[in-house]
Amino acid sequence: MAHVVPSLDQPSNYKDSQNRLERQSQSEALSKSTTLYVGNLSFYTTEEQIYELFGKCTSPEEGGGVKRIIMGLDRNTKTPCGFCFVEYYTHAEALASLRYVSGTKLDERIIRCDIDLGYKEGRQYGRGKSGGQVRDEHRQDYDAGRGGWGAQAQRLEMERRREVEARYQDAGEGPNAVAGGGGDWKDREAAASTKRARSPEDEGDSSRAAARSRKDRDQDEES
Amino acid sequence: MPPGRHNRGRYRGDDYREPVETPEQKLRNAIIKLGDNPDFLTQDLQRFSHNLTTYNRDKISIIAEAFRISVTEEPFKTPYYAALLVLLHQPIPETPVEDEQEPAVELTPIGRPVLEDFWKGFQAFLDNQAWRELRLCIHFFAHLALANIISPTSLLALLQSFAAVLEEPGVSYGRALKAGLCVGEGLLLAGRVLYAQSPETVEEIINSLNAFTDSVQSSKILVRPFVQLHDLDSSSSIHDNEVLMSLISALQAQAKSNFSEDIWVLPQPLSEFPSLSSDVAPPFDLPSVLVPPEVFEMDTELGGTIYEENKSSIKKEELPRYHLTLFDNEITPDLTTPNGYVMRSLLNDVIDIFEVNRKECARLLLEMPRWFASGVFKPKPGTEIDPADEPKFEKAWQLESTIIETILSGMLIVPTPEHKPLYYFALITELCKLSPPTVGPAVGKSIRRLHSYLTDGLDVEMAQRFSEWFAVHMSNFNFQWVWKEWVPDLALPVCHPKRTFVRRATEYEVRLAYHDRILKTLPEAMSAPEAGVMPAQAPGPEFDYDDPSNPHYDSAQSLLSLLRGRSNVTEVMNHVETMKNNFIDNGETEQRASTLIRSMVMQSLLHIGSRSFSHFLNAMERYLQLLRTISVAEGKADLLDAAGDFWRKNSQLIIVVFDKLMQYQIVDPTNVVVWAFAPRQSKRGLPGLTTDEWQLVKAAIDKSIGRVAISKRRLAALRKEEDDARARVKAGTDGGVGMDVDAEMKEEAVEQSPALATALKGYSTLTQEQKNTLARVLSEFVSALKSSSHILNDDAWHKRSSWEQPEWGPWETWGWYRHFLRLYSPHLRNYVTSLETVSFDGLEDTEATRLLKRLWSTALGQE
Repeated sequence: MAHVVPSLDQPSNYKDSQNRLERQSQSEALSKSTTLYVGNLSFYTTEEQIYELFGKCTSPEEGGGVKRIIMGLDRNTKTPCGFCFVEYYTHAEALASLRYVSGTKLDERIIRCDIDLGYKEGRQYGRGKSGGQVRDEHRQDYDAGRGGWGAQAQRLEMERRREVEARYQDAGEGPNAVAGGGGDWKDREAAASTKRARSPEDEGDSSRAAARSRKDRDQDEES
Repeated sequence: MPPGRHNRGRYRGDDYREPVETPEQKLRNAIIKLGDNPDFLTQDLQRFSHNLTTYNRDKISIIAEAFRISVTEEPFKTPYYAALLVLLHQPIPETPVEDEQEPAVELTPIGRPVLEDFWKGFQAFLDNQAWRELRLCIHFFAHLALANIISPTSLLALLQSFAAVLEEPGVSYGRALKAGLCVGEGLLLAGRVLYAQSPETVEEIINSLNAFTDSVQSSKILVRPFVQLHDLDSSSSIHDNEVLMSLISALQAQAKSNFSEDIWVLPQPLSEFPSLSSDVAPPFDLPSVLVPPEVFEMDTELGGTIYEENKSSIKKEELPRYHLTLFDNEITPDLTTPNGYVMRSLLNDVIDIFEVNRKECARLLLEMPRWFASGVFKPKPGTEIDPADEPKFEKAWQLESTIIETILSGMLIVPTPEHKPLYYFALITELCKLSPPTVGPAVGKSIRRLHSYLTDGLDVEMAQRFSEWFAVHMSNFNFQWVWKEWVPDLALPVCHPKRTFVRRATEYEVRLAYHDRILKTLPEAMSAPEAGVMPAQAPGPEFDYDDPSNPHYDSAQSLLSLLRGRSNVTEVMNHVETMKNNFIDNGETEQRASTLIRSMVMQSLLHIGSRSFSHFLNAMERYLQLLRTISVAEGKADLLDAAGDFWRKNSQLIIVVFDKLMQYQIVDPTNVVVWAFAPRQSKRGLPGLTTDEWQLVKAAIDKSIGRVAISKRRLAALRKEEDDARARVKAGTDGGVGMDVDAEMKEEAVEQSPALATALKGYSTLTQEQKNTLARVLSEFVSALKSSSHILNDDAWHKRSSWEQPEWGPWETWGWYRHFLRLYSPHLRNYVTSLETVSFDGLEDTEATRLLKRLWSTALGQE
């Protein structure tokens, strides 16, 4: 049904500006992708909150589910900087999130979802000069949920901040820095190897920083 | 230069451009957008029709396609499309000749060719069994029959072909329902001419609808929204309507007046063209059709012996659909009346069709009054009405309440709604954003009404979805709810459904926000810990070995520091072995020592992983081998006990952790099922299921079903791959000289196909696992419910205001049993004999065991 109105699960003009795939292969990859980029999060929003909301788009009876969540961190302070990746087991679940979650509130902020090419090592960090997201680099407005808190800081947010600051201090680098999330069922008796299951695309594919740009520049850069 | 600032231009050059519309697309869109302009007047149809006839007469197929799209995707405009097609049948008045030299050309009308082409599309919908499209095309035909463009005889014959589906031997409920709706709605809309044509045939059709609903009467006990366990057959509730029954009531009401009364909610655009000649041409006879037989997704690919028990395909929608009523009939349309039915069914279609774009859907819904006759909905507050027009609005409904009621009743369909519940939540959110002052109150009233239904035995799954919606909705609107009006409910027993609802709703809110945020939205009477609504503290982890007074404090701490230091697995395993031997040396039994070890390992990993979901995954992945080693045999249950204890205050984390333990194959779905049913303190030591525990059971079943689904897909893909390979080899061999060696090698590779053998073996293992999971759930339900006869009588039910856990506990478990059966019956059907024998043999004959068996055999279609 797309004759009368456009579907909300069409890829937007969001893109990973550091991705070097050609447009053709990018859109092919997107049409199978199980990963979402989620933007405009509060710095205080936890993975459990994200899991709760995005879990409502899963179809476990089809073999789906939330595979993993990768919290976007400030490169320097290792604290959440307002974006994340949600990876599902199936493409349909990612599309459902675009239709039902994107543009609704989480933690009292309207969040934005886009289909993503998939997590690559290093992408969990902000690309802004000071470590966070580029969009927060030049932001003029006061945004309590995104570190923009001064004299009138909200008391509750302060409380939460303490927890948040410590949470990811152990965040690592390198190929095993983030969890795989558990693969499909394997016959363990048949295959003696208990090596953990990961998506093939996770293996050692570290994308170099490349010339980058994006069209929708006022929005999130990290993607 | 900030990163990303340069070379913008490069991408700009690469941008998608708005594609230029071809003349064909332009024409199509002009038809699809008919009437979208707010200044549109019905009179404009004349000019539009004239334009089509004069300038686009060579594009019949495009015009017909646009009609098909419009009628099936914008059903609210169908009366206008019908009117347009009527106008396209009219002779064209000669255009005044400007150039005297040129003779006036008389154009033949294009209505008939368009209709003929439209019919081809209908035939295609029929071949694809696109039921909604078929039904909406029938709406269109009905309007055309009323205008004498289509012959009533042929429409009646068409409806009869659809009615024949109802009498197919062994027809599935889903198929019969869809066909029945096509028939009934066609009759409802075109009743006047059809009845005039042949009252007998019309009555015959209504009777066959009736006979069908009678034949499926028994299955209604599985889906009625209000549950009276002692009297499942009573349909006393005035708050719900079954869809097909409602349609029949509406038809019967029309039949009483010989279908002489028009459906007044629909606009009559043709009435604005009084000069139309009524018989411009003989009416079109719809060709006769045969509704193609049901398609079963046969797993011919999988074949073989492993498939014996799993032959039938898995289908959904096998049960009657009940719609809940939330408002009085003066406020919102009554589904059982002709006009109410037409209205509700149209709104339902809009909600389904526009699922792809909830924002547009919300906008369209609020614009609905445009597409209905005036006076159907009350005018917007503040609109000035001509006093002369006032009587017109006497019967008017309230738009927003009607919309919200329709959305919520769709969301609450059991066993599963048409779309994910979250769609309905998000749609209501959009409506509230578009018009807060009018939609907000309708939402508030709906919440209050649903809440009041909780006392009357509202189905547990519906109550669960209601609380989920409540939390998501509040999360979008600053968590503002007038809790204080529910303060008096605190006097009810703590396990009363209303109190359970409030606890669950706030808990779901906390999951989406955080504890303190939600706590401060409650009035004092509710926020105090003794009120029993929310705990005083955020639902954090409970590490049993954090307390120095714990006898195993030191051992646990040493283990914890090893794990925290990311020591390698072998080292940890050795340490664990030493610990275990120490316990045994200190007088513990082997079994007890193993349990202790499991508890410490599991809780330590969870402790490390308690910072976030990712930390948990990381900790688990690092020590999967350790977890597998210590969890052989009965160890799996120990791990779940340890994890359940650790997150005992946080039901969300229990679900997350158990799910991943299953995902990583540390525990089996059956282990989770057993854990969920086990008696524990929260249930006053009684077996059974709370809503949270049902979620675990469901997660376990879905995990095993999901694995079978994946494995099935993989098998199918492998089969296809091999077939392709074989085809290629064949092509290669046929290719002739020089290819022989190569081809031989390929042939060999195909013949061996170890991948396929492995996949087949995996599939058979998983199918067995699925069966085990379902069997376990069934037997757990039987043992939890077999001695619950005490709540299964009228007397007990009427004393429910004083029920406590020993009554509400089993009542809720019964609800989940019913839901389990109706949700998984397509899967259960595959194993019916073996499951029955295991679970029901040798049961004492009591009220409870009779009910257990009755629900089972109803769900499995054995009645």
